[in-house]
Amino acid sequence: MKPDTQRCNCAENNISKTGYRALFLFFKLLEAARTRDEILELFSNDPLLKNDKSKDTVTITVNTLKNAGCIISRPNQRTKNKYVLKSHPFNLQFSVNNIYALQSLRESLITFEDLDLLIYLNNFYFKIAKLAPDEDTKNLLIYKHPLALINFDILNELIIYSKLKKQISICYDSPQNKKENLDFVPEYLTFENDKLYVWGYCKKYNNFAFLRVDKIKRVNCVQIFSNTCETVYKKPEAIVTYKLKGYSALMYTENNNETIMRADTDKGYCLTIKSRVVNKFNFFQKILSYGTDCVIVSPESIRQELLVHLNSIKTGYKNNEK
Amino acid sequence: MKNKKYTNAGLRVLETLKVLTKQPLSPDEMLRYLESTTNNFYRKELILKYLNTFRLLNINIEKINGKYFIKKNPDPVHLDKNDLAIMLFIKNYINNIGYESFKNNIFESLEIIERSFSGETDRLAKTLNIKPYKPKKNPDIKDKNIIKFEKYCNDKLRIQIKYKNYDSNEVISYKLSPLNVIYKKGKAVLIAYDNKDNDYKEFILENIVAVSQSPQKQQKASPSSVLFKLYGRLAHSYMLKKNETVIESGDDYIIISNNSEDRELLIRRLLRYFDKCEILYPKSCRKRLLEIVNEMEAIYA
Repeated sequence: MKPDTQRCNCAENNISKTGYRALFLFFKLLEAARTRDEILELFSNDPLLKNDKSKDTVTITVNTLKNAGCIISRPNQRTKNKYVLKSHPFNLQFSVNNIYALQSLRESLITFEDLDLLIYLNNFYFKIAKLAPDEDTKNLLIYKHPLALINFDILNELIIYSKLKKQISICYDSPQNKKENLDFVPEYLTFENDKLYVWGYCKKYNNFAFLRVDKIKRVNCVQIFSNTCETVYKKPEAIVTYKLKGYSALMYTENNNETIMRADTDKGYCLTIKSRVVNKFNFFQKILSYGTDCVIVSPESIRQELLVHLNSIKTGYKNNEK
Repeated sequence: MKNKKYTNAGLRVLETLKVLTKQPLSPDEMLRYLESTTNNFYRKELILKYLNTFRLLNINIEKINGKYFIKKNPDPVHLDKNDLAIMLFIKNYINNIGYESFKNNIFESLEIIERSFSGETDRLAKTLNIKPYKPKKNPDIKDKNIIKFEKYCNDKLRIQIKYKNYDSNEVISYKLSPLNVIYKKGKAVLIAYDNKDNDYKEFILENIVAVSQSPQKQQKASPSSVLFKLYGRLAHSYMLKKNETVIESGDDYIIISNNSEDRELLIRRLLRYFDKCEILYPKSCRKRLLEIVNEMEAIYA
């Protein structure tokens, strides 16, 4: 606000006092919810409004704001007798088309499977959601993304403990065993098929597992004095070489455990990829989704395991035909 | 319902501020706009008086070429340096994109955001040497001919395309109703409705070798559904995709209907679920899945 003397001079000149009062209250409600007494106190501290001591003045000013399109909740016990400004029409706003474009932008960036990018983008969208023209589009910016069901406090803890490689106890809502407590050493996070997974050693099942982050309900405790994971367990690892062609090659991106060994754009199977397989289930899921675009080159044991899976899929269909 | 006790003059000031959030206006234009959209009576002197009121409250109003506009949003957005880095990344990403209406909408949004910066955000943006967010992999945009396809989508006429298959050089013709263009991993992809197969299909723009527009209007899409059954723990943990619905569920299974995904891509996705998933309908999709499995087996024979 301008200094008192300057403001008084302006007032003497050419302003609308009732308009000034309405906007003064608007800005004060933007800062925080206020009781009627608090508003009167604020009026009394303003050189232009110091004589506005009537409670009716507050009611009338609030009504004026409401008539202009502000949504202000009535003071009641739930709001601790405060006026709460819920929305207002005085913002520069996105158009509905702007919102759809922002949403398309996020959908296009999700396909890069870059978790940090998605987290930063979601935080950014959360902050700019107040510029949305209505509640529906505001909710679209805040909630319409694949991480919407994830508790960010839990995610932050997982990120920290995966860097420290500390053993933690988590409450996991598993589809098979319902809620169970698991001792887990998180190592890294991946974002695949629109879902966020944390990878690490699971003590109970004695395997290197990947868990869906949205199914982790709580981090119970951390073993402060646990050793780093390398000394606690040995990761089962298979080095697999496979080749890709067609659509799958076109859409392929490297990740934590995979590198492109060769890229020959003129050949059928144009990409040769070396994969460090720490969880076969996840690996075969990916290989199956490549369909006929993929051929496993080595080792032979993995090729044979894939054939077993293919056979079980066929058998399932045949049994259900009968 | 209007609240009864209010001040007319106060409301006029607020209405004037509202108008200025929509577009830059001269006092005369403001007068005309306000009189046509409200029940209040206005005079030009009053408008000028109201502008003074705004200034007194530090609302950032500027006058350029005789028109007033709100330079800064009265209700600011506070952003930190990560947000600013993401904004710069978006600017760079969008600059490389050819999809005009998409691009314009994003730039419009960024302008609104910049005009909503709080004082602190402005200071951060000016004083810190903020670099754009650096993604794990730099997005490589491939969207040649997108302007043509953007037009086809807006025209709402049918098109005929020749499409080069990904793994062979075989070229297939399709008659389509083009609906939208999206970006997947930086590649522009046309989403279209195929009347013959009664489903939605995706086509990577760089693989479309020829296209022609027909005078026929697009037909309303009424795609048939693919029904699939999921068993065991997958049935309990499956996250529905866009436009999927559960049509039946039991203790150990669910049946899902999907009518919006490209069928070839859907079949590949369902293969991920091993023998815990079965396509029930249509027979052609069931057959196609088994064909893929047989072809995969043949690779290793």
